[in-house]
Amino acid sequence: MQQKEIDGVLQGRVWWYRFLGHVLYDGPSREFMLRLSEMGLAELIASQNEGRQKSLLSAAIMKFEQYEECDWQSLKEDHARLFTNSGRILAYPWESVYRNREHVLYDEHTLAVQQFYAAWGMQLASQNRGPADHIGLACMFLSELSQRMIEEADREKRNKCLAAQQEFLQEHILTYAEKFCDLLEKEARTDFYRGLAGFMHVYFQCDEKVLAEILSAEK
Amino acid sequence: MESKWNISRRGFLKLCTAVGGSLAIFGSAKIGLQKLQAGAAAKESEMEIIPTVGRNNCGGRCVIKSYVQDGTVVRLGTDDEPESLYHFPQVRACLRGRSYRKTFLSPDRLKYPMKRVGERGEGKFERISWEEAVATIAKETKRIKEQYGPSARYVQYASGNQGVFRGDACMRRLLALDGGYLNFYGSYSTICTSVATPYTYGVSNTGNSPDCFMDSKLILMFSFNPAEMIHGSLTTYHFKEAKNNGARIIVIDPRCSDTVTALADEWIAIRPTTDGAMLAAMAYVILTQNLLDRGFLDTYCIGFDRAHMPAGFDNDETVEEYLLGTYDGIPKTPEWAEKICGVPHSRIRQLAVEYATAKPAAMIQGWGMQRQANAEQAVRMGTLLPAMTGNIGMSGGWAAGQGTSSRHAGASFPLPKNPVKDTISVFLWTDAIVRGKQMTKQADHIRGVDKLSQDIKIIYNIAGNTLINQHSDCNRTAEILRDTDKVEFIVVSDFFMTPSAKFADILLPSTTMFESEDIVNCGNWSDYITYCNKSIEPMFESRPDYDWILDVADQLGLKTAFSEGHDSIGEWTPIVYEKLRQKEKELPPFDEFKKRGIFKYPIKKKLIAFEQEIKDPAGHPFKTPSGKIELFSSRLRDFNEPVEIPAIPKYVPAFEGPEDPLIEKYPLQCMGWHYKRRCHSMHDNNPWMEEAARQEMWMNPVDAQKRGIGNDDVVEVFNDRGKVHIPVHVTQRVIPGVVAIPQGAWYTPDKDGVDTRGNINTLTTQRPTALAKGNPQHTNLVEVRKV
Repeated sequence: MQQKEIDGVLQGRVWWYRFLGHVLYDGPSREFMLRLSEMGLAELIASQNEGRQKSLLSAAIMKFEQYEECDWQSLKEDHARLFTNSGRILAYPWESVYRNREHVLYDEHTLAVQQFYAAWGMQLASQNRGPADHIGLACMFLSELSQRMIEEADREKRNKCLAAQQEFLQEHILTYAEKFCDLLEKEARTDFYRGLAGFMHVYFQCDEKVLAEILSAEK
Repeated sequence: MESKWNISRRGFLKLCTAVGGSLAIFGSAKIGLQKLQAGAAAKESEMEIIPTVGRNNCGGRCVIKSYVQDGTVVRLGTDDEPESLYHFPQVRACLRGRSYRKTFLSPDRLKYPMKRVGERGEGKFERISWEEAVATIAKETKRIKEQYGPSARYVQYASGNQGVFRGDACMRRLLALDGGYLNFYGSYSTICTSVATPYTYGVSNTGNSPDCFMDSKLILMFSFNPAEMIHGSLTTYHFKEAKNNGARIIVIDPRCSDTVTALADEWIAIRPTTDGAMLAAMAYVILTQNLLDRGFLDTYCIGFDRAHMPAGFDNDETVEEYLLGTYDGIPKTPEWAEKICGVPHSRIRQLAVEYATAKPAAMIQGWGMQRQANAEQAVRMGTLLPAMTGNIGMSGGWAAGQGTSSRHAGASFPLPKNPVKDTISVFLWTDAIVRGKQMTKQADHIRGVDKLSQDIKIIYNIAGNTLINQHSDCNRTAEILRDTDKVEFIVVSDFFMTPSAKFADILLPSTTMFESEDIVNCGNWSDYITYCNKSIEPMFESRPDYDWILDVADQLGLKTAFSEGHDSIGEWTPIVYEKLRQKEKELPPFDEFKKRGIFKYPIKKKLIAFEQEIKDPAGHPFKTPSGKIELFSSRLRDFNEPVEIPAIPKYVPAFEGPEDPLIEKYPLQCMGWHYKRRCHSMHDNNPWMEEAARQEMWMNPVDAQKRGIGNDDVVEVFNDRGKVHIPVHVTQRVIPGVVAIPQGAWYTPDKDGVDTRGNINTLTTQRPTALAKGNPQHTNLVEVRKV
């Protein structure tokens, strides 16, 4: 892979991980979703789809322009019932819940994620509460590291940063992504989040492969 | 994955390069993470062991040790102090305590304050800020006071948090400073015995310290199940010691409980609500076989025989006359009792002789028998036997009745005097919603005033599930609560979306014992005090109840009066501790106590109830009007309801008992029990507990066969009040004619109103007991069919 191509991919990863982080962690704001549709994201996803089925995510984004008030409300409610409800939620977004035999919050996996962030000089933003091993935060973390990579000229440092991303993806996100995405697809009521589940799972897998490629190209 | 799409490497690269320049669409949205603050090291921190405490309302409080690393509880331990070092048994956690991590660190915790958006009870909420929540609560608190007066405000009975700074105590403190609130007396655990016992003894603390059981030759446990419900963290330890020392233990219960299997030499099966008949027959045998301690009766008691009736009651029936059937023509023989209670007459006779001749013998009345429709009479009849045998005021004996005792004082959060005098029975709050202003001293045994001045209009339900789940007749309660013209505003604070939480107008996320500080006094029959150290930061936006109540106080202009300058529980604990230390001189300095997490008082002297009254009756009269043990109570006679509230203990058939004609329609007695997998309704949502002990109904093979029901079948249990679906455990561990549903399952009605989780309170009645106006939640007639 050429350097230019690598930089392009890294730039794209900054965007995609930021996007995943935003819709998983912060939730779907109307303005943001409309901007997705304006930038042609639906068409982009559809054009690269080689599967037998149409992309549900693409179709969902395409519909945003026709959304009425109640549709936006349903989307917001879906995010709440899946990830943020006070009380029972349907698609647990925290790593510890999948990996711990007690399925609890704040365990050694949470701790490991926290320590990973800290090793790269990051921590949960002060306005946020809750465990740091939220998949949305994990995505935002990868976005941040990808950005640093772009800004970094030193080859050794670039390699280190790249290896860290690979490690984080393998040791954390990919250990539970399948279970999480399955649950999300099963429980989501809106096409956007159901589609996101399918998309996201494939995205993580492709990203792992491409990262390995970049890593060997950089070396 | 069904909606899986596929992408090639080339496609993926395209996907990336195509969006790279579009970062602007995120606008000013932050990324959720920030730069590590200076000083926050990236290295692994040391493991800390933080002592804290199980502060639920079983009868015990156990030591929990949090192993904390980097603000995370990674595992739990319990009391590991060597017994030999402290000469004190370890205060260890049971299966519930050991799974606190699973229960309390659940991803299903309440996370943010919310307001109701659907119909009340529907469970639809929307996230709001703490500021909005506090402002709404303050506004409604003020409005209800102005519109209806302070007595329309009710802080619901709640037992989920037994800390000194529990939320309901904080709220009462605030309302007391703000003009007052409607009081209640009693508790769902003990109201009938706490009201009935003092008619005999003048007080309800009739228990010896548990080390006295070492001197017992025989221990009878009526409806007492300490092995399962944890009457005190050390209670079973003491019974095992007594057993090792030669005491025989006999349990009288409709169920072969875990206490029977763990501790007893014998199980005597009895029909629910008929303990009074069996006890009366035992008294009859002791009387007629002349095994009674006449000297004791003559010296310390009134009402047993004609010669010892109080002046002015010469025509009233004595205990002796009742037992012999002088007036009603029914001698209370074992044969008479057998027909009622189902225990063979020969066993009753033999047991009476064993009890009367095994001095010292302890006859313990568990609190199960006093959650029956005729509870007060069973309690009174129970106190008759130790009086007849002189088993009072001695180690190894037992005065019966409530049976509580404490060698040491506990810490307390000062509660100012409530300016409102109106007081209801803890069980009658639904009545006080529907017909408060009609409730009277005469009819409803309200206290403080002759007539209530207001209906309940606002409820604060903090760390409790009695707003519906633990109260009787869930369907009726739901109907009452749904009506927003009756109770106009309900605040609930909890950890989970419980059945009660669903009825909130404002629902608040509270902190567990991992996330807040407190002092927790020990449970029953114990000699220690514990400190709940904070192990981790509050989850999500949860807050200790003290903190938000302080914010409400601020909006009511009462901040300083409420807090006395202490902005958190952690600032209060040393203060209340020092106050306690002035009384309890053995307590160590606060820091030492906090660090160890527990203080175990050296055991020096046995505490024997009524020791002085027996040794020196002239100098230490009983705290009754006559100064004697009142087998005949003139205060009870004053009720002038001789059938239901007789002046002497009598067996009174219970409504919905085996002698109620309703048994033709509903032929099974349905009782509850305290299940080892829950503490009341807590832990019902912990799946581990379901594995350990699933929610199921016990039914005898005789009754199951008759109905074509097999083991594990799901059945419908029903009466006029509701329907429950529950799997059946067919077992001889419950007597024929009785089904048993463990209490505390979360009321989960389906669209037809059928409870699908097996909450016994779908079947229980809101009709109160006669004297205490207490909860008869074990007294229910039902029928069962296969579904």
